[in-house]
Amino acid sequence: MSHTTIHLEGVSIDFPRTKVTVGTIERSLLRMIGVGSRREPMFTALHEVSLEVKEGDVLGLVGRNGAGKSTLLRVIAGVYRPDRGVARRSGRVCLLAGLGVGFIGNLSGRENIYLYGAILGHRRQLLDKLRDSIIEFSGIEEFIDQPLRTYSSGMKARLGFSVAAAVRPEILLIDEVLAVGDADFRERSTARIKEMMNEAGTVLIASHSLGLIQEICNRAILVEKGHIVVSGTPDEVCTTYMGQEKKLKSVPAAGAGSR
Amino acid sequence: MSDVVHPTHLVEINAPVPFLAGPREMWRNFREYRHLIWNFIQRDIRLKYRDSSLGYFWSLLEPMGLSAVYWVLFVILAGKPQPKFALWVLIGVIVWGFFSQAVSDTLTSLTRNEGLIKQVYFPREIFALTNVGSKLILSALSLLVCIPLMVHFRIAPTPYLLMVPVGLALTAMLGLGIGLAMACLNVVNRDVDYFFRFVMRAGFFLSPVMWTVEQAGSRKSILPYLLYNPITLPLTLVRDGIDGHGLHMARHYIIYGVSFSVLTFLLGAAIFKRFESQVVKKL
Repeated sequence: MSHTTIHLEGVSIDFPRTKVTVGTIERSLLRMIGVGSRREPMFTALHEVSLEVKEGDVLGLVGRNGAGKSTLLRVIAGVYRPDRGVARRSGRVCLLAGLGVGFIGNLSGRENIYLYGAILGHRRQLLDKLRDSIIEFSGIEEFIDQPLRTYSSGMKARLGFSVAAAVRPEILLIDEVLAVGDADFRERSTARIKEMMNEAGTVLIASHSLGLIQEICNRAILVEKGHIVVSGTPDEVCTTYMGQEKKLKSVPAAGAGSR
Repeated sequence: MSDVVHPTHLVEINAPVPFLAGPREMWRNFREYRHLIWNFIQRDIRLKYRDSSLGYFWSLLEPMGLSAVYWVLFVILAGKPQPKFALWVLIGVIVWGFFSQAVSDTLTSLTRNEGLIKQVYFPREIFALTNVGSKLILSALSLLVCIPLMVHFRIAPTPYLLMVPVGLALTAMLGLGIGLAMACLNVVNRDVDYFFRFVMRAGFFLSPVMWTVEQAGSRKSILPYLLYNPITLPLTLVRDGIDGHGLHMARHYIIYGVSFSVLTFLLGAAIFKRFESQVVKKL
């Protein structure tokens, strides 16, 4: 039987609606200890989200920009603490977000492998062993001793995925990273994710590429304004999402016509 | 692979820590992430002087140059100083430099690392610990400049040299404590950073950098206040340790100085752990 690896229970996250001008020190101080007279205006990015993911699941997250997909992944990674509700997980987690995050531009690709590996919680000896396979998988042997700032965004993403895949976390969270790789790399990373699935790993992928979601995920959720609105097979979820997108596209046109 | 933990049960992610347990939590994170901390420290040191031809010599040249300036200033203002004055100022400059960098680095540790904080999770105090750790190593290296001066003044190494690491450790704790306590507030309001820059500039003159506790001793009216300056004890420990004699300070000032640094660190750690996850959302 397969264990639950991620379990969210009524998780909500509020963000302060930060204005460009900042209040005075006293007010921020008071608000921090909870004595603030006026409540700060809040934006709720996740509304009581509950989710259970098991070993061997590859879950796709679809939804429009700003729907809460990245926030959800960051809660699971531990970046944000839920304001309400409880988030639990088991095992090591690795979040791949943005392009080559955790990477330092002035260090070489090789040095960055060690740095990123250390960020993901691995010691030097293990990385010494994995280094060659990471470099080979990334397919950038030629540039590995160049400073990272000279890399293209695709190359950074390849390096990041290669390290993350090599250290074999129990939970891998991917936030729109695979899309930047070229076709060849995308094929290899897809194969690697399927491998993780068979090894009872858990993968969450947020992506706008519905083809990718349908190809590698066994489950999917549609996130909308901080709610999980649909949960089911990738095909069901993608169809619903496409249908909504179509409706949305036709609305402004109709509105403009009537005015 | 010994590193892999097999999933057996679910653990709450990023569970809140009670206020008083903050320092203990920080200690636990320090042990768990020591490899990462060491990796970051190496990176800091390697990057510090990258693309400069003099490299690490800068960490010796900079305090030497500054001391020369202060020495000249002293001669102009106060006349002929004691012969060992050059050594005392040099030590003062190095320790003060370490302290003010520790405060400002820790204070801005969250705001400077916004990108990393939002994208990967690891305990955020690690930024402060690694910055202060690497500055500690560089400052200890800078103190090697004192060796030729010790030879020149015929100061033999004594067991009092053991006061040097103690003084540096207390300086680090004091700097970390102040910085950690203010780091979260600095995310909400960047004025904190500017305010502390001013405080550190002013504090320079109120601290025994360009002068020593013994020199101030002749002015009985201001001496007690200067001895209550929390950086006085750590700085004097390093200075007197290298100079090879005990502290010329009453015992209660010593106890005060040690406990001030330690308590500031513990309080700073507790405040940081309490507010850290709240302010991350404001980054």
